[in-house]
Amino acid sequence: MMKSTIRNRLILLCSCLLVLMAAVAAVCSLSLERLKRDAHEAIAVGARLHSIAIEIQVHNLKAQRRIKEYLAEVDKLGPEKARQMYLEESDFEIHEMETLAAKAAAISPDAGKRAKFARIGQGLASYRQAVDRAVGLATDDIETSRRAEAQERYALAADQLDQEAEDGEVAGSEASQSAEAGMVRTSRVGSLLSVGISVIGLAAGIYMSFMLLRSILGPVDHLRELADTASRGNFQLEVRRFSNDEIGDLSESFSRMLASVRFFQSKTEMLNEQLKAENLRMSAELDVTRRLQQMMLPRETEMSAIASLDISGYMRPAAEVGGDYYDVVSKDGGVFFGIGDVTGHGLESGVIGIILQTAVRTLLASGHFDNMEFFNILNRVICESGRRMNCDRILTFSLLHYQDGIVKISGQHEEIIVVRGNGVIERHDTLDLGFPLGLEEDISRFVSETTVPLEDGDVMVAYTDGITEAIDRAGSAYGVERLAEAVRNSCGRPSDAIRKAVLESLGAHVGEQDLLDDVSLLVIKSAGSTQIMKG
Amino acid sequence: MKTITGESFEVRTEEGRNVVFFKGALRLSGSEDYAPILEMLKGTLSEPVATVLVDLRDLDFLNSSGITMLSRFVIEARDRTGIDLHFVVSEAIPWHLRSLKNLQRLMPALKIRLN
Repeated sequence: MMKSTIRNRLILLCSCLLVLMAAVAAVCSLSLERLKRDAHEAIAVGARLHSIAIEIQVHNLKAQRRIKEYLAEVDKLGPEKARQMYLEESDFEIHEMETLAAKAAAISPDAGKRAKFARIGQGLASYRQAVDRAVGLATDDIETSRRAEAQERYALAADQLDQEAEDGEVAGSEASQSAEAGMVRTSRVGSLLSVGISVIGLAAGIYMSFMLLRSILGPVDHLRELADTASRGNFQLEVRRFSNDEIGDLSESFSRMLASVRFFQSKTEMLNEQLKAENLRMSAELDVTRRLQQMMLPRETEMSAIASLDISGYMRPAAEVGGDYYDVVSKDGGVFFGIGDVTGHGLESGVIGIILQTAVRTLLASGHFDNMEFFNILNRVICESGRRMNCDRILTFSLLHYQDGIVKISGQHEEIIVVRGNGVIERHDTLDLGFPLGLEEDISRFVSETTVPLEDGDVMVAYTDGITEAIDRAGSAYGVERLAEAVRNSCGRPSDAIRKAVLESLGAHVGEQDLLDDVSLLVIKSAGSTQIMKG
Repeated sequence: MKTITGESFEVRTEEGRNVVFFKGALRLSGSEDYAPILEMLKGTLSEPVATVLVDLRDLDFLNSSGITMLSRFVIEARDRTGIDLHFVVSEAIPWHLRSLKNLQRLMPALKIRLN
């Protein structure tokens, strides 16, 4: 069976209307045509009757003239010849009139007219008698008064016939006129009928369209309301299916769409919750890491207690917190500086940093100053910790030991910058002084030591790559050159002023950019001149 | 051909050719993020091949986690026999030579091609 779609319904509606109107129009025009034909026939009959009546009158006149001529000439010509000349013709005329009257009676459309023409026929009979009498008496030798009486009778009969023929003429005219009037009526009825059919067709069309529209608009309104509700964020909706057509299909699609939206919404909400939880965990972790880092940094008081050196340290963790570390340990008249950087970010890197610091302090406290052993033990601790924590972190670490104006440097980290009192810059690469910790089990063969004198007014700077790799908007790194230059430009000032100057220079380079890594800076200045300034 | 891409980098290896190309600046935040790249590098070692080539000429920057990742790969290559590992680097990029020294210490047989 064909599906009751809107398209099919529209086609059906139009077809029904067309067939209905065509049928009514056909019936009407057929009957109108028939009525018209009948009316035309009636008019023709009326006209024929009318003309027959006139013909009768004409024949009557002709007959009268012949009879008059006969009556006038009969004495002169003799009855035989007069009869030949005039009466035969008048007989013919009378016969014609009889034929016409009979014909008219036969074709008359109603009894009244038929009677009229029948009367003409009867009138003709007495007419003929009157003629015979008048003619008969004309030749007989009788009294003139009787002859005149017969002639008068004949004239009366002729008049009467004429009168009746005139009646017939009128009747014919009337028949014609009434047929014509009938035709006018018929065509008026025809017009009324066609107007009526149009009105009925229109009304039927409007009614059916209205019904169709109602069957479409109802479901569409329902869908529109649902869509409005959905647009306000409510997807818990029940979609009704009204009809098995295009709108029904649309309702089903809409329902499926709502189901998908509900599914994705719940999924998104779930992911959002997970993300929130994850974010919360991460930010809690980062907070802890940041606090641990800051907690373990050497205090200002510890550093200012060291008389021979003017020391300033700085550490700023990045948003994600890296694994920067520095420490200052005063021991037996000397000072140890440790600086290091654990790869990666977050809690693991921070914890490895703390393990490194603890191990370094422990080793220093236990009196292990032999570089090779010191670094081997440290490396092993880091390797084992990394394995236990199941995290792939390695680190760079340099140890600086200051004693009596000499700094011994060992371990691989960034370069150590020295700016002499006269402004000369020295860069000491630590690449060959060690090896990354946490990568290889035995690094003793890579560890060595370099010695750098540090005299009054000289500045030594250790840092992590958060400074030198800090990029500006164009992606260009701050670099060791800029760092060394910033130190040189402020090398006459106390260590904390140098530190501030370096950080200002770094800030100017980086601008609005986020720091991607922790930034650590350790400024060590030989105390001589600074102490005078302090004093 | 397999490719790993990020905001500022691309790592690509060519099937059957045991060559890994690095391009751009690699600043992934930790070993977890570098794991797919390490896997790709290690993939070149899965076949019993003689020569593996790592092309770093177009890698402008590699952070310390990335260098750790390269170190792990070199250790892996060193611990297998018969691997002929080549690094192609650019003299114009400072971190290349500095980092490669450590890699060469890990695997003295590692060959560096300057370009």
